[in-house]
Amino acid sequence: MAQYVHFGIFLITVPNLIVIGLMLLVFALAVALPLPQGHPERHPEPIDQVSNQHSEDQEGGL
Amino acid sequence: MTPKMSTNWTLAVRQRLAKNFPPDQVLPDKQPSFVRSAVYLFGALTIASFALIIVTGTVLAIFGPQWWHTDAIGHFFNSLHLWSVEAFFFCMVIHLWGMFYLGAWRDGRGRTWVMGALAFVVSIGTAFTGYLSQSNFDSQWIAVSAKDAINAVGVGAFFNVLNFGQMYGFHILVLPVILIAVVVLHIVLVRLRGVVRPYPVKGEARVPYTAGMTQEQYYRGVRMIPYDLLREVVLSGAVVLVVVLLFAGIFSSPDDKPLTMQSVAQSDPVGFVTVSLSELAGNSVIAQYGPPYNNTTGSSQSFGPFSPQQLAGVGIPIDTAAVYVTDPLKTVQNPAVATALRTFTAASAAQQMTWENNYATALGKADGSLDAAGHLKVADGDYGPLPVMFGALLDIARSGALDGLLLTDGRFYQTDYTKPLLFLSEEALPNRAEQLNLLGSQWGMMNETGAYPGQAWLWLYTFWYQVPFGPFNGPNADIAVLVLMGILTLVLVFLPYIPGLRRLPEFLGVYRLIWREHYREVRATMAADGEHVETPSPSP
Repeated sequence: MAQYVHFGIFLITVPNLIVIGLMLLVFALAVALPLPQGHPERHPEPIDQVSNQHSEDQEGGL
Repeated sequence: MTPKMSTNWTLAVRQRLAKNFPPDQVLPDKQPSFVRSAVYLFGALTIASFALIIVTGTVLAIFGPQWWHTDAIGHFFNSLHLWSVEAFFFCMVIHLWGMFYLGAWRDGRGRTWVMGALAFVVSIGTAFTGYLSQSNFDSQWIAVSAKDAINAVGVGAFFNVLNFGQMYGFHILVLPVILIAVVVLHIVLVRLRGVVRPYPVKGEARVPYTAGMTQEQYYRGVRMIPYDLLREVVLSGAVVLVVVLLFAGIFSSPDDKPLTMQSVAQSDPVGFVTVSLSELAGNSVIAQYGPPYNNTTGSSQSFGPFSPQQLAGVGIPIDTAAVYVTDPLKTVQNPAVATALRTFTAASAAQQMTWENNYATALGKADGSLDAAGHLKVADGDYGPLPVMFGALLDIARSGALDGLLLTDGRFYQTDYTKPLLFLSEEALPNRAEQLNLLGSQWGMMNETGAYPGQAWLWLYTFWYQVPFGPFNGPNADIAVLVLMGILTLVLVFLPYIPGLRRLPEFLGVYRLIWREHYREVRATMAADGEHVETPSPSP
């Protein structure tokens, strides 16, 4: 039978809390831990058009 | 010049496929160097989990919904299915978090995000109907807990969570087909458009995004590294398979027996007769529930003056006195019972109420012991024909006949358990759920029997029930929560198109950690080129 953890208005079973806690932990590890690098190959084409502007405003429509 | 499309349909389709699905984008062997982060692995892990869900679910469907309750191999496949679902949501949520923090919808990738978010939403529905299709106590409890919210928004008669056959159909066909279509579209969009570039560093030279540009154009100047898509997918599948096998082997899966009218009548005859009496008297929760079961208003919810529940009307009419008492008694071949039923029916409403009140009071003092005929012992009193009627009803319930009578509608095959589940929801199911410590303050919607994790992905839905004020803590809590979650779900799905919110990841800055290697390279390159370097920061 699952036990509950109660803090403030939050009430959740321990198994559900473990799953959510593990998700947060794994996400934090995925962000923090480096992956081994592959062998780099620079893209052959030169940059023929450059810009400093952010592209956020160029969002495509639905 | 664009080549002219053929008038030959087959040739036209082939030309279109060749144009829109170039092999080097569908099956790439290179990827941008900034993709080297573990955050990017969770998309493939989600797909691998999804594949395992489909395989194990197909095996379960082949052998039928009862197989896993009676066969050890079936139970093992159910365990594989359960842990695949847990793995699927685990990886999908992390994938969703990662793509959110990277602002993955930028540069024309809004539709990719919409499809991914839709996949998440449809997955919740698919898993929910799966929990309802387990045909054990957990599915009974989730069904009766969920019905109020579904009824509150007026769709309870169309999407009846108490109808096992309907939920099973949704779970194994309707929703999976939609989910597979959405997931395939999401993957195709990811492959065709490629992953989004990191937020730019101020002063960084890069090709600006323009609608319709190819990946070649979009990644121009970006360092590419070798990549093996198929190997990633296969290795992800292997990892998920090993993890799921381990969890299924070690932890198995819960399967508490469902309650039946028979088991309740045998284990708690006083409770059974008391609820049956309230169904006859018309003062039970279900008798006064309102739509979709009857025209009362006891459990009817509204959002301000608007009540979709009332508007939808009575779609599943249930006359509790007839369904649970008088109709089953009409099947009893006993003259004394037929006479008692005629006496009760012929009596005035006031007389019936007097008998019912007297009998209810006597039942409240009964200790549950039975007489030689198997009827409840109660103190002497003026109960009219009720002791004979409820003695007979208890008999047919204890024999198991009532379970069948509540399912039959003159046909042979039955999969709709609305009537018995509504009766059991009055007392027996809540009592059992309390014994199993399932209730919590949100009535156990996301809980699982035993010490197993349940539908943890429903936490935001169930969280609102715990807010001790406002509409979430009153008689209209269900509709308030569903309306709010409907709005929040729309916000999640259409996030790329909501001004302000779509730039949230820029301000949160988690992307700087995920792409830290990339930014180090950019800064080094710019320093070598003698350019002024600044760390990426939100645009004004």
